[in-house]
Amino acid sequence: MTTSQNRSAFLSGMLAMLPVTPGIIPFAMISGMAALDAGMSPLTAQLYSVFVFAGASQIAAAQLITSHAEPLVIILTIWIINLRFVMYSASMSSKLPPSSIPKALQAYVMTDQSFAICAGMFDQNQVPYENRAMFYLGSSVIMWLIWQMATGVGIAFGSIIPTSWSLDFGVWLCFIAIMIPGLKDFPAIIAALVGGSLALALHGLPFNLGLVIASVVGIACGYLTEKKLSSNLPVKSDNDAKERFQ
Amino acid sequence: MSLPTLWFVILAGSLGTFLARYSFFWLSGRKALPEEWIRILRFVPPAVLAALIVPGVIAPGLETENPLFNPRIIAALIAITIAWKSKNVMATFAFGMGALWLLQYVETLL
Repeated sequence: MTTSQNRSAFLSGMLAMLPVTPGIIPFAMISGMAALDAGMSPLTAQLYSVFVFAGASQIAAAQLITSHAEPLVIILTIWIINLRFVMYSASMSSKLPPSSIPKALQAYVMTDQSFAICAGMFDQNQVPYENRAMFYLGSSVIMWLIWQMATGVGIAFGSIIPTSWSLDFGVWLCFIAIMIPGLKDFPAIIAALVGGSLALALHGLPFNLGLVIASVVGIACGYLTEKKLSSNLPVKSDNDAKERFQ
Repeated sequence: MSLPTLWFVILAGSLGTFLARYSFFWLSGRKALPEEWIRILRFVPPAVLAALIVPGVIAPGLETENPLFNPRIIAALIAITIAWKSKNVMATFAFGMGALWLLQYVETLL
Protein backbone atom coordinates (compact mmCIF):
# COMPACT_ATOMS: atom_id res chain seq x y z
CA MET A 1 0.00 0.00 0.00
CA THR A 2 1.41 3.38 -0.96
CA THR A 3 0.80 6.53 1.03
CA SER A 4 -1.22 8.07 -1.78
CA GLN A 5 -3.34 4.94 -2.04
CA ASN A 6 -3.95 5.11 1.71
CA ARG A 7 -4.83 8.78 1.50
CA SER A 8 -7.26 8.36 -1.35
CA ALA A 9 -8.95 5.40 0.38
CA PHE A 10 -9.28 7.50 3.56
CA LEU A 11 -10.77 10.42 1.58
CA SER A 12 -13.17 8.14 -0.31
CA GLY A 13 -14.36 6.82 3.04
CA MET A 14 -15.00 10.38 4.25
CA LEU A 15 -16.89 11.27 1.06
CA ALA A 16 -19.04 8.15 1.28
CA MET A 17 -20.51 9.49 4.52
CA LEU A 18 -21.69 12.82 3.06
CA PRO A 19 -25.32 11.70 2.57
CA VAL A 20 -25.79 10.77 6.23
CA THR A 21 -23.81 13.51 7.96
CA PRO A 22 -26.55 16.21 7.85
CA GLY A 23 -28.77 13.91 9.88
CA ILE A 24 -26.36 13.59 12.77
CA ILE A 25 -25.89 17.33 13.29
CA PRO A 26 -29.20 18.05 15.10
CA PHE A 27 -28.82 14.72 16.87
CA ALA A 28 -25.36 15.67 18.19
CA MET A 29 -26.46 19.18 19.14
CA ILE A 30 -29.33 17.76 21.16
CA SER A 31 -27.02 15.30 22.88
CA GLY A 32 -24.79 18.23 23.90
CA MET A 33 -27.78 20.17 25.20
CA ALA A 34 -29.12 17.10 27.06
CA ALA A 35 -25.76 16.68 28.80
CA LEU A 36 -25.90 20.30 30.03
CA ASP A 37 -29.49 19.79 31.21
CA ALA A 38 -28.20 16.82 33.23
CA GLY A 39 -26.00 19.26 35.14
CA MET A 40 -22.68 18.56 33.42
CA SER A 41 -20.22 21.39 32.94
CA PRO A 42 -19.50 22.25 29.29
CA LEU A 43 -16.13 20.48 29.49
CA THR A 44 -17.60 17.37 31.10
CA ALA A 45 -20.39 17.34 28.52
CA GLN A 46 -17.85 17.36 25.68
CA LEU A 47 -15.70 14.68 27.33
CA TYR A 48 -18.81 12.59 27.90
CA SER A 49 -19.42 12.74 24.16
CA VAL A 50 -15.79 11.78 23.41
CA PHE A 51 -15.77 8.89 25.91
CA VAL A 52 -19.11 7.28 25.08
CA PHE A 53 -19.41 8.39 21.43
CA ALA A 54 -22.80 6.74 20.95
CA GLY A 55 -25.60 9.28 20.53
CA ALA A 56 -28.73 7.39 21.52
CA SER A 57 -27.14 6.19 24.75
CA GLN A 58 -25.65 9.62 25.50
CA ILE A 59 -29.06 11.27 25.29
CA ALA A 60 -30.90 8.51 27.15
CA ALA A 61 -28.34 8.50 29.98
CA ALA A 62 -28.37 12.31 30.21
CA GLN A 63 -32.14 12.24 30.57
CA LEU A 64 -31.93 9.58 33.26
CA ILE A 65 -29.39 11.72 35.14
CA THR A 66 -31.79 14.69 34.84
CA SER A 67 -34.59 12.61 36.34
CA HIS A 68 -32.34 11.43 39.20
CA ALA A 69 -32.28 7.76 38.24
CA GLU A 70 -30.01 5.34 40.10
CA PRO A 71 -26.43 5.35 38.73
CA LEU A 72 -26.46 1.59 38.16
CA VAL A 73 -29.68 1.85 36.14
CA ILE A 74 -28.10 4.58 34.01
CA ILE A 75 -25.01 2.45 33.36
CA LEU A 76 -27.17 -0.57 32.52
CA THR A 77 -29.22 1.56 30.11
CA ILE A 78 -26.07 2.70 28.27
CA TRP A 79 -24.91 -0.90 28.00
CA ILE A 80 -28.24 -2.20 26.73
CA ILE A 81 -28.58 0.51 24.09
CA ASN A 82 -25.04 -0.14 22.87
CA LEU A 83 -25.23 -3.92 22.88
CA ARG A 84 -25.94 -3.68 19.14
CA PHE A 85 -22.26 -2.83 18.60
CA VAL A 86 -21.39 -6.46 19.37
CA MET A 87 -23.31 -7.34 16.23
CA TYR A 88 -21.55 -4.67 14.16
CA SER A 89 -18.18 -5.67 15.65
CA ALA A 90 -18.64 -9.29 14.60
CA SER A 91 -19.54 -8.24 11.09
CA MET A 92 -17.01 -5.44 10.49
CA SER A 93 -14.02 -7.27 11.99
CA SER A 94 -14.58 -10.06 9.47
CA LYS A 95 -14.74 -7.63 6.52
CA LEU A 96 -11.56 -5.61 7.19
CA PRO A 97 -8.16 -6.74 5.92
CA PRO A 98 -5.21 -6.95 8.34
CA SER A 99 -3.68 -3.48 8.69
CA SER A 100 -1.40 -1.37 10.85
CA ILE A 101 -4.39 0.53 12.25
CA PRO A 102 -4.88 -0.48 15.90
CA LYS A 103 -7.94 -2.66 16.37
CA ALA A 104 -8.91 -0.65 19.43
CA LEU A 105 -9.13 2.47 17.21
CA GLN A 106 -11.17 0.65 14.57
CA ALA A 107 -13.52 -0.43 17.34
CA TYR A 108 -13.78 2.94 19.12
CA VAL A 109 -14.78 4.94 16.03
CA MET A 110 -17.48 2.53 14.89
CA THR A 111 -20.95 4.07 14.48
CA ASP A 112 -24.30 2.88 13.16
CA GLN A 113 -23.81 5.04 10.09
CA SER A 114 -20.21 4.16 9.19
CA PHE A 115 -20.94 0.50 9.77
CA ALA A 116 -24.04 0.63 7.59
CA ILE A 117 -22.39 2.47 4.69
CA CYS A 118 -19.11 0.51 4.77
CA ALA A 119 -20.68 -2.93 5.18
CA GLY A 120 -22.99 -2.16 2.25
CA MET A 121 -20.18 -0.97 -0.04
CA PHE A 122 -17.80 -3.77 0.96
CA ASP A 123 -20.41 -6.43 0.26
CA GLN A 124 -21.03 -5.00 -3.18
CA ASN A 125 -17.28 -4.93 -3.84
CA GLN A 126 -17.28 -1.17 -4.37
CA VAL A 127 -14.05 -0.84 -2.39
CA PRO A 128 -10.95 -2.96 -3.21
CA TYR A 129 -10.16 -5.35 -0.36
CA GLU A 130 -6.75 -3.87 0.45
CA ASN A 131 -8.21 -0.33 0.70
CA ARG A 132 -10.97 -1.22 3.13
CA ALA A 133 -9.18 -0.52 6.40
CA MET A 134 -8.36 3.06 5.38
CA PHE A 135 -11.78 3.56 3.79
CA TYR A 136 -13.50 2.44 7.00
CA LEU A 137 -11.19 4.65 9.08
CA GLY A 138 -11.95 7.69 6.91
CA SER A 139 -15.70 7.13 7.09
CA SER A 140 -15.61 6.69 10.85
CA VAL A 141 -13.26 9.60 11.52
CA ILE A 142 -15.44 12.08 9.62
CA MET A 143 -18.41 10.89 11.67
CA TRP A 144 -16.39 11.39 14.85
CA LEU A 145 -15.31 14.91 13.87
CA ILE A 146 -18.78 16.08 12.86
CA TRP A 147 -20.32 14.46 15.92
CA GLN A 148 -17.90 16.15 18.33
CA MET A 149 -18.11 19.55 16.64
CA ALA A 150 -21.92 19.53 16.53
CA THR A 151 -22.01 18.39 20.16
CA GLY A 152 -19.80 21.38 20.95
CA VAL A 153 -22.17 23.72 19.10
CA GLY A 154 -25.08 22.29 21.10
CA ILE A 155 -23.15 22.81 24.34
CA ALA A 156 -22.16 26.37 23.41
CA PHE A 157 -25.42 27.64 21.98
CA GLY A 158 -28.07 25.24 23.26
CA SER A 159 -28.89 27.41 26.26
CA ILE A 160 -29.83 30.44 24.16
CA ILE A 161 -32.55 28.48 22.33
CA PRO A 162 -35.88 29.29 24.04
CA THR A 163 -37.76 26.35 25.58
CA SER A 164 -40.86 27.37 23.62
CA TRP A 165 -39.13 25.91 20.55
CA SER A 166 -39.54 22.49 22.21
CA LEU A 167 -36.21 21.32 20.80
CA ASP A 168 -36.17 18.59 23.45
CA PHE A 169 -38.73 16.87 21.23
CA GLY A 170 -35.90 16.42 18.73
CA VAL A 171 -34.53 13.64 20.93
CA TRP A 172 -37.54 11.47 20.18
CA LEU A 173 -37.43 12.41 16.51
CA CYS A 174 -33.80 11.27 16.37
CA PHE A 175 -34.70 7.96 17.95
CA ILE A 176 -37.68 7.57 15.60
CA ALA A 177 -35.46 8.29 12.60
CA ILE A 178 -33.01 5.60 13.74
CA MET A 179 -35.57 2.98 14.72
CA ILE A 180 -38.31 3.07 12.08
CA PRO A 181 -36.27 2.20 8.96
CA GLY A 182 -35.02 -0.89 10.83
CA LEU A 183 -38.55 -2.26 11.24
CA LYS A 184 -38.48 -4.27 8.07
CA ASP A 185 -40.14 -7.49 9.07
CA PHE A 186 -42.81 -8.75 11.41
CA PRO A 187 -40.53 -9.98 14.24
CA ALA A 188 -38.75 -6.60 14.40
CA ILE A 189 -42.11 -4.82 14.56
CA ILE A 190 -43.21 -7.16 17.37
CA ALA A 191 -39.99 -6.37 19.30
CA ALA A 192 -40.73 -2.64 18.96
CA LEU A 193 -44.43 -2.89 19.82
CA VAL A 194 -43.81 -5.03 22.90
CA GLY A 195 -40.82 -2.96 24.04
CA GLY A 196 -42.69 0.31 23.56
CA SER A 197 -46.01 -0.62 25.13
CA LEU A 198 -44.45 -2.46 28.06
CA ALA A 199 -42.15 0.50 28.75
CA LEU A 200 -45.19 2.79 28.83
CA ALA A 201 -47.09 0.45 31.14
CA LEU A 202 -44.08 0.16 33.48
CA HIS A 203 -42.82 3.75 33.28
CA GLY A 204 -43.82 4.37 36.90
CA LEU A 205 -41.55 1.62 38.22
CA PRO A 206 -38.72 2.81 40.47
CA PHE A 207 -35.15 3.09 39.16
CA ASN A 208 -36.44 3.23 35.57
CA LEU A 209 -36.57 -0.55 35.69
CA GLY A 210 -39.42 -0.34 33.19
CA LEU A 211 -36.95 0.42 30.39
CA VAL A 212 -34.74 -2.55 31.24
CA ILE A 213 -37.62 -5.01 31.61
CA ALA A 214 -39.41 -3.75 28.49
CA SER A 215 -36.21 -3.96 26.41
CA VAL A 216 -35.43 -7.51 27.47
CA VAL A 217 -39.01 -8.72 26.98
CA GLY A 218 -39.21 -6.90 23.61
CA ILE A 219 -35.99 -8.55 22.40
CA ALA A 220 -37.23 -11.95 23.58
CA CYS A 221 -40.62 -11.52 21.87
CA GLY A 222 -39.00 -10.52 18.57
CA TYR A 223 -36.67 -13.50 18.74
CA LEU A 224 -39.42 -15.96 19.66
CA THR A 225 -41.68 -14.59 16.91
CA GLU A 226 -38.94 -15.14 14.36
CA LYS A 227 -38.33 -18.64 15.67
CA LYS A 228 -41.99 -19.46 15.47
CA LEU A 229 -42.39 -18.09 11.95
CA SER A 230 -39.53 -20.10 10.54
CA SER A 231 -36.59 -22.03 11.89
CA ASN A 232 -34.46 -21.55 8.78
CA LEU A 233 -34.80 -17.90 7.83
CA PRO A 234 -31.54 -16.38 6.60
CA VAL A 235 -29.70 -14.30 9.19
CA LYS A 236 -30.22 -10.67 8.28
CA SER A 237 -28.52 -8.65 10.96
CA ASP A 238 -26.17 -7.12 8.40
CA ASN A 239 -28.71 -6.04 5.83
CA ASP A 240 -30.89 -4.81 8.58
CA ALA A 241 -28.39 -2.22 9.74
CA LYS A 242 -27.06 -1.47 6.28
CA GLU A 243 -30.31 -0.53 4.64
CA ARG A 244 -31.26 1.68 7.51
CA PHE A 245 -29.18 4.59 6.28
CA GLN A 246 -29.62 4.44 2.54
CA MET B 1 -25.65 13.76 40.94
CA SER B 2 -22.28 14.28 42.61
CA LEU B 3 -19.23 14.72 40.42
CA PRO B 4 -17.55 11.39 41.40
CA THR B 5 -20.82 9.51 40.74
CA LEU B 6 -21.24 11.28 37.42
CA TRP B 7 -17.75 10.28 36.32
CA PHE B 8 -18.31 6.74 37.54
CA VAL B 9 -21.40 6.57 35.30
CA ILE B 10 -19.54 8.10 32.33
CA LEU B 11 -16.53 5.80 32.66
CA ALA B 12 -18.51 2.62 33.30
CA GLY B 13 -20.89 3.46 30.44
CA SER B 14 -17.96 4.20 28.11
CA LEU B 15 -16.11 1.04 29.07
CA GLY B 16 -19.12 -1.19 28.35
CA THR B 17 -19.72 0.61 25.06
CA PHE B 18 -16.09 0.23 24.02
CA LEU B 19 -16.03 -3.46 24.95
CA ALA B 20 -19.15 -4.04 22.82
CA ARG B 21 -17.40 -2.38 19.87
CA TYR B 22 -14.08 -4.10 20.53
CA SER B 23 -15.47 -7.60 21.24
CA PHE B 24 -14.99 -9.19 17.85
CA PHE B 25 -12.06 -7.05 16.77
CA TRP B 26 -10.35 -8.59 19.76
CA LEU B 27 -11.45 -12.10 18.87
CA SER B 28 -10.57 -11.15 15.25
CA GLY B 29 -11.58 -14.19 13.32
CA ARG B 30 -10.67 -16.60 16.08
CA LYS B 31 -14.31 -17.12 16.76
CA ALA B 32 -17.49 -16.34 14.87
CA LEU B 33 -20.46 -14.90 16.69
CA PRO B 34 -22.89 -17.80 17.12
CA GLU B 35 -25.78 -17.42 14.67
CA GLU B 36 -28.22 -17.60 17.54
CA TRP B 37 -26.65 -14.49 19.11
CA ILE B 38 -26.88 -12.54 15.87
CA ARG B 39 -30.56 -13.40 15.73
CA ILE B 40 -31.09 -12.13 19.26
CA LEU B 41 -28.99 -8.98 18.87
CA ARG B 42 -30.86 -7.82 15.83
CA PHE B 43 -33.86 -7.13 18.06
CA VAL B 44 -31.90 -4.88 20.42
CA PRO B 45 -32.35 -1.62 18.44
CA PRO B 46 -36.13 -1.90 17.84
CA ALA B 47 -36.96 -3.06 21.37
CA VAL B 48 -34.72 -0.60 23.22
CA LEU B 49 -35.47 2.43 21.05
CA ALA B 50 -39.22 1.82 21.22
CA ALA B 51 -38.94 1.42 25.00
CA LEU B 52 -37.30 4.86 25.11
CA ILE B 53 -39.58 6.60 22.60
CA VAL B 54 -43.08 5.51 23.66
CA PRO B 55 -42.96 6.58 27.33
CA GLY B 56 -40.82 9.59 26.39
CA VAL B 57 -43.48 10.94 24.05
CA ILE B 58 -46.63 9.84 25.89
CA ALA B 59 -45.89 9.81 29.63
CA PRO B 60 -45.28 13.57 30.23
CA GLY B 61 -48.73 14.47 28.85
CA LEU B 62 -50.71 11.74 30.62
CA GLU B 63 -51.82 13.80 33.61
CA THR B 64 -51.64 17.37 32.44
CA GLU B 65 -52.68 17.73 28.84
CA ASN B 66 -55.90 17.36 26.93
CA PRO B 67 -55.99 13.59 26.24
CA LEU B 68 -57.73 14.12 22.90
CA PHE B 69 -55.28 16.68 21.55
CA ASN B 70 -51.67 16.04 22.48
CA PRO B 71 -49.36 17.81 19.99
CA ARG B 72 -46.37 15.63 20.91
CA ILE B 73 -48.15 12.35 20.24
CA ILE B 74 -49.61 13.56 16.93
CA ALA B 75 -46.26 15.02 15.81
CA ALA B 76 -44.52 11.75 16.75
CA LEU B 77 -47.03 9.77 14.65
CA ILE B 78 -46.39 12.11 11.71
CA ALA B 79 -42.63 11.66 12.17
CA ILE B 80 -43.03 7.87 12.26
CA THR B 81 -44.92 8.01 8.97
CA ILE B 82 -42.25 10.21 7.37
CA ALA B 83 -39.45 7.98 8.69
CA TRP B 84 -41.27 4.91 7.37
CA LYS B 85 -41.72 6.40 3.87
CA SER B 86 -38.48 8.38 3.44
CA LYS B 87 -35.95 6.59 5.70
CA ASN B 88 -34.36 10.03 5.86
CA VAL B 89 -33.15 11.46 9.19
CA MET B 90 -33.35 15.11 8.10
CA ALA B 91 -36.86 14.78 6.65
CA THR B 92 -38.08 13.03 9.80
CA PHE B 93 -36.58 15.79 11.91
CA ALA B 94 -37.94 18.64 9.79
CA PHE B 95 -41.49 17.31 9.47
CA GLY B 96 -41.62 16.20 13.12
CA MET B 97 -40.54 19.60 14.49
CA GLY B 98 -42.70 21.46 11.95
CA ALA B 99 -45.75 19.41 12.93
CA LEU B 100 -45.12 19.98 16.63
CA TRP B 101 -44.83 23.76 16.21
CA LEU B 102 -47.96 23.90 14.09
CA LEU B 103 -49.95 21.74 16.51
CA GLN B 104 -48.75 23.73 19.52
CA TYR B 105 -49.93 26.89 17.76
CA VAL B 106 -53.30 25.27 17.02
CA GLU B 107 -53.54 24.25 20.69
CA THR B 108 -53.31 27.89 21.78
CA LEU B 109 -56.30 28.65 19.57
CA LEU B 110 -58.47 25.87 21.03
